[in-house]
Amino acid sequence: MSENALIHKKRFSKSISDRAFGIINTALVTIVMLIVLYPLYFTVIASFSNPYEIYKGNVLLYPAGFTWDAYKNVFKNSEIWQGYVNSIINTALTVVYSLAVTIPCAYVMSRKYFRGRGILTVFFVFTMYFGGGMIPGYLLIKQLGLINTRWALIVGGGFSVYNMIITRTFYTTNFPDELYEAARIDGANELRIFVSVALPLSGAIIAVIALYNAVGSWNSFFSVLLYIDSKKLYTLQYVLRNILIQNQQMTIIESMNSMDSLQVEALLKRKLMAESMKYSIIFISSAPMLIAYPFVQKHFVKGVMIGSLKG
Amino acid sequence: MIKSKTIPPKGAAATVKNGTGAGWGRYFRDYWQLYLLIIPAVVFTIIFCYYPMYGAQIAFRDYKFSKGFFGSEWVGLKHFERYITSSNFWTLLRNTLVINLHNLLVGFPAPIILSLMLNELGSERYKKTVQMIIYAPHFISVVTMCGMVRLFLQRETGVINILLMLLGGTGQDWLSKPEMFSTIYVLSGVWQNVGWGTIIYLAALSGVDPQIIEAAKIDGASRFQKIIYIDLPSILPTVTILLIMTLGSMMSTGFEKVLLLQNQLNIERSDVFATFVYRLGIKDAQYSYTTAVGLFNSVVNVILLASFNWLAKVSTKTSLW
Amino acid sequence: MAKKIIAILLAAVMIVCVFAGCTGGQKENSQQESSSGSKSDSSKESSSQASENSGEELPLINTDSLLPVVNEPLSLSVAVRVGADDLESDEKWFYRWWKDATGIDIEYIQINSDALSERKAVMLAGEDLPDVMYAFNWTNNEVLNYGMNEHFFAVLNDSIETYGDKIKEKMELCPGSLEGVTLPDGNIYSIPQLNAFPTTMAFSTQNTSINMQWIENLGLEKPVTLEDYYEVLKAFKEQDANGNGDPNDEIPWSGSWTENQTTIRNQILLAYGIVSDGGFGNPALKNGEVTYAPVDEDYFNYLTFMNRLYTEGLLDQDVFSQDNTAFTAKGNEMRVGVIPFAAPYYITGSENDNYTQYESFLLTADASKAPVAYQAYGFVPGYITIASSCENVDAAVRLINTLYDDTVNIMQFYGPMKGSEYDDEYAQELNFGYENVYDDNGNWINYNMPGYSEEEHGNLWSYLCRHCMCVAGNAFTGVLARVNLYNADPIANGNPLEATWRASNREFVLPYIQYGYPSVYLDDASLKTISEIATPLADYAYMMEAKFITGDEPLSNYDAYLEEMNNLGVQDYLKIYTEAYAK
Repeated sequence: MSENALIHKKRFSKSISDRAFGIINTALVTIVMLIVLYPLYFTVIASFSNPYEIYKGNVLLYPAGFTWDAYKNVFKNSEIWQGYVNSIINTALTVVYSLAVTIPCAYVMSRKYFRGRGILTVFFVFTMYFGGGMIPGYLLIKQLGLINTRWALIVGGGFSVYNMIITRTFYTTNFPDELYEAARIDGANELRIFVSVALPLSGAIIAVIALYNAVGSWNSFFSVLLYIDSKKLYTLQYVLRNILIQNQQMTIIESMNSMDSLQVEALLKRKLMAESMKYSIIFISSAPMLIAYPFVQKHFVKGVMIGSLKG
Repeated sequence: MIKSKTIPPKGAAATVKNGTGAGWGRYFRDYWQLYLLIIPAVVFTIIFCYYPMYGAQIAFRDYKFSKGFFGSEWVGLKHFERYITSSNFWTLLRNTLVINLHNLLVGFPAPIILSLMLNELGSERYKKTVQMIIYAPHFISVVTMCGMVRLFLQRETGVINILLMLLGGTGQDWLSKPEMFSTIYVLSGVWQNVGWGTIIYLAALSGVDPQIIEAAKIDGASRFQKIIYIDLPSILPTVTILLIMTLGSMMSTGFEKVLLLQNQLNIERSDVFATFVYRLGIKDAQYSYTTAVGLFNSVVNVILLASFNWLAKVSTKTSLW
Repeated sequence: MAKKIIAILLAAVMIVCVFAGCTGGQKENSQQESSSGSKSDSSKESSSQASENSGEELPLINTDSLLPVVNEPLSLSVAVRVGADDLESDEKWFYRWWKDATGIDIEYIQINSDALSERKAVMLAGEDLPDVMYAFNWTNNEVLNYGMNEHFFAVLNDSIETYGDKIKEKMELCPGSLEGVTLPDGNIYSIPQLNAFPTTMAFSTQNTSINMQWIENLGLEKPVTLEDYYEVLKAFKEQDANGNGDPNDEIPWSGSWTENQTTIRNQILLAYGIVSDGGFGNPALKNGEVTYAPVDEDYFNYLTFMNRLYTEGLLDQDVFSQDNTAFTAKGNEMRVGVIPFAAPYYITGSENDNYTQYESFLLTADASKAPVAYQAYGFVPGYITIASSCENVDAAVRLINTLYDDTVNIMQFYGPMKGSEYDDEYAQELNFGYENVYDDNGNWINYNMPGYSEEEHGNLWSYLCRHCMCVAGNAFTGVLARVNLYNADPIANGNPLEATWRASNREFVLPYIQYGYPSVYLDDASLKTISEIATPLADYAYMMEAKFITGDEPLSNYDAYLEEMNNLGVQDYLKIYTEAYAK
């Protein structure tokens, strides 16, 4: 633990009321965690259970009718691996792209002496509420020649006003005028200040925005639905969603009438399997995000900025 | 040491503080790099947000594919009239507002409180473990989440009802009760997103100067007081901004989740603008009408946004613009 | 602009080909010569004439035989719907075969079925339609608007007349289909999907079945009137109908409202003579007159009856909230007496013979009148459309024509018959294809796919979907109902799962079928009104129906409900549809 955190801990451990506070706090947090945990736990055991057992309510604390089928069925589909690769590439590109656009913009917007700040805020926020709709958006991508390419999924996600505003707030609170003036006096120009002073202190917010964007890109599927025809470009979410939806639905009435029992049975089996696949799919799709998160966490460290003032 | 090409004269440094005084020429010479940094965002917004806005005009036209956006007949406010006078306008309005207000009262404070509590945890490792767990639900897709909600609320076999019966109550079909809809919607949302919501607050809390905390302890503050007087103010700007933005979307809800939890029995409380628009828009291809609906709602949202922003500006120092 | 470019390119291609003297078409012709003796009905004529006249100039479109379609290369773009299992278009057997055999250079545009409504919108908005739009399922109103009013779709009358011999043939077999695709201006803008042929009419799985074993166990009779039905359900509930010793575990009537409401509702509505598909989206017919179910004079009786059943627990109280899987779990345990499916193995599973316990049945409100069963018109009018921007509409129609041939129709699902002339290199490479299976008397029973094995390929459904053409949503539906079904008799040919329920339907449902409200094309003004009032009317009716049935809303408020329906415009609704019907 850093020296500061140690001091923090020591000082607060002393009084009894503070101790009681600590215990109650930890207890409450634990309860919350368990409540949140149960449905996740349920997801795990359900993904290993027989679907009928799930619906009969027999799956509570451990799997019923243990089976690997839900996972096997998903992975039999070779498109999943392609989907993984595509999602990773798209997400990485989107994160870099959006950070490059959002962070500088938010920094600039946080500078009180920046002329045009008010107008630009309105300029940006306006777009959160008014837009052209799906059709002009599609036509734009078409005009750019990006239909059915990877870039259709990336270019539109470069800048979220919401994220920009959060970042701007971060800079407003955590980048005081004194720091700025010290750098100015040292002779730095604006660009230099941004790159050499502000950015190194932005670890926490860069991590947050990168994470927000990564999750947004990872979970998105509507763009794929609209712009992509080629299976080679499908992202993981889209592949999984396809598998799930198309397994779940019962068929159109007319077509049921023209099938024989072998096919109907096959269809019903698939539908049943979809029930437990719902749960196995959660893990398959969120695994990378859950694995990546701990690496991001270490950027939320206290006292980083204060160190720079002293030095 | 930071090197630079020119040392700005003291006069220019003085203009930093108040940002005014210098003429545009002078100003630009000193600060042109700021504009450089902001160009990508502006260009992006123009191309991807403002350029397609011509599509919004079909709210005032009778849009036909063959006539296109600019060629379709102009009908003025006809669609808006139809919208406001439609029989279910007030029901949709009520439902949307109820859900959003409920969310505001319960869902908005939840991550704030939780992040303050997390910040107080003694063990760093425990804190990280808890964080990992409470973030996870965010990754679950809406479709699966609603499937789980329906499963847990099943009358005979759902977990919630089993718990209730253990405590002596009776199992109920919660999803078929209209009055329970907003509670189910909000609580399931809290479960899924409270952990994720703490991220931004924890990031802000990580910027608090430990020396201030030390000073407070020396002054004899209890942990509780520390939270009230140090932690809260440090996240107040973030809270204010997010609150303004939440209040500025009172007329909107996501539609997928509502659609998945709706059924014939709870529909009088569960039908909101978003699902109504979805039924008419995608299924009936009434694009002009649904664009008008969207536009109307956006205007209301913007009015709310501007009002709350002004309020925040006047009462606290933080505001959106 | 795009149209211009396509036009120039096509012209260039055609010119180049004429000069280069393509012989592709002739090679195909000689392949067709060697026909193997296949049992299925193949209408190829020998075209020795055509292949010998290599010196003479051939017309672009081949009308002498089914295949090839064109004698010189031609390009068309065909938009098809695909599902999760489909392969890329150059890997699917049927797509490859179709290109080769027809001689048309087909550019396949694969559209995910999920994305269909959005894609329709952007294609129309961008005026960027593919030549052939396959399985788009346009509604009547859409065909009217986009075809007749906005001219996005080509007029097909002449093309079908000259080049669509198979299409015409099949449409004649399917009653009402020709009228169904002819718009008020006399033009045809779409080619329909044909589902019901005389022998398949009773094969609707959307009928209700009752457990006859339970009836026998309790010494009852199969219910005929609504009162009988009430008594039987009551007995199911109170006594130990399924013979397991527990009189309380039976659920008399159940289902999943979200998925089966039309079947459940129709079981009672039909008893009152209201003939419709069981939903509130369309008007209904009663004794030959137009009515709308939610405001019909017998609707109140329907609600009262259903309310009675619900409050007494005879209609499963979970029916409104459970989904199909939850319901199937109950049915699997043999706890449900009446199920909303004619093919009971959907619910009971096929591993045992529990499904044999169920039989279809109809009810009537008035003991003196015969019961009524609903038969849908067996065609989907707006199935295939051709863009008016297509350079060669005749060729496109001729291309579609091939799908209406019986042999080709089967090949779309199962691949080529093993050993037939269509069994090409690629099919053999994949070991994709079928064999006919006959019983000892020489009757056809089923298809067998020698190349399929469950361990290697997984689900049969997925396996077929990979190579077959028509994945509309998640089912494959061709342009015709499967050939074998209207040629063969599964009752005689021993597939017991199918035989039992189809026999049951034949006996108890088929004699009483009536058609519902036909598909009509409304004029502009009517269309406008309907588009504004239809959805709110239906929404309100659905909402109030649930409340009346569960008792949340007392039936004494029925008049207030009727008044609200009037406010929403139900009288206009009835008027418009009554006039349309009269025409």
